[in-house]
Amino acid sequence: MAVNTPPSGMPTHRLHHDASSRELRSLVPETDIIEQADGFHLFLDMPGMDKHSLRIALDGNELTIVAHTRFDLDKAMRGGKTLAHMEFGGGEYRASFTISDDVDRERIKATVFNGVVDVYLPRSQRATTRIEILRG
Amino acid sequence: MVIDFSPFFAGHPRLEGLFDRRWPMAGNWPAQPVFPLLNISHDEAAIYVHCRLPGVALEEVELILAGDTLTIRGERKPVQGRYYRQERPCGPFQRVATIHAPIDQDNIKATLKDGILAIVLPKAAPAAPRTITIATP
Repeated sequence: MAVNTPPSGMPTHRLHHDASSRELRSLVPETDIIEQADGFHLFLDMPGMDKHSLRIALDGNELTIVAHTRFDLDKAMRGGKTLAHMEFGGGEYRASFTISDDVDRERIKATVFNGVVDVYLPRSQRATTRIEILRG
Repeated sequence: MVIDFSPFFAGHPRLEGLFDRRWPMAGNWPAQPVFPLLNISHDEAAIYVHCRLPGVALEEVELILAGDTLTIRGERKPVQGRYYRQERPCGPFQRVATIHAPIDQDNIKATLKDGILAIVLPKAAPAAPRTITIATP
């Protein structure tokens, strides 16, 4: 089962712009965590992302998903275009999750469809001990 | 310029602003009321609408230009399973943008790539100026 480490409920369209650096704006993708018969799925909305920049890394228990957007506003405004209305911008999508031992780390798989990253976390076959809860 | 589905679906920017000012720490409720998000830019040749539509297939989106309103609507179907967290909006959606320019309706182009729907609405050629002769009585 996956648990997110950064404070959740952070809306994606509120861009976190770090004025002190010229790094890309950091975007927190909206995420669904779903359990299905075969294991867990993380669905992350990352529209406009460049598939080649997608990095999924597992470091210990920490699963990190990073991707840059190819869609940047500068491009939309280049060539004499005027921006009339703006609700979203480009930047770097970044999300991290803590994975429990319930997940088979060797078989984690990710697929991308229409700007959504689907990370499949299969349940491990290890024997588990169920702790009985006694009525007080 | 952009009109939304309903007052509940759209969220009130002013009302939200008021809440943010009065209770800055109360910002943890679902802050994802508007879907899909739009960017609109224009130049002399066309109006460009970019729409953030992750996970929506081409056949699930409908684009309608009626008069000067452009409607983007469709449905985002939820995945079946046990949800431990749900932040991605799902269900039917609709957004309406008012286009204040005559559009060449035969050459509208729309592409959906990596969850971004890009619509190019070419402006119609302006009618050639006509000189009206004033008849002398």
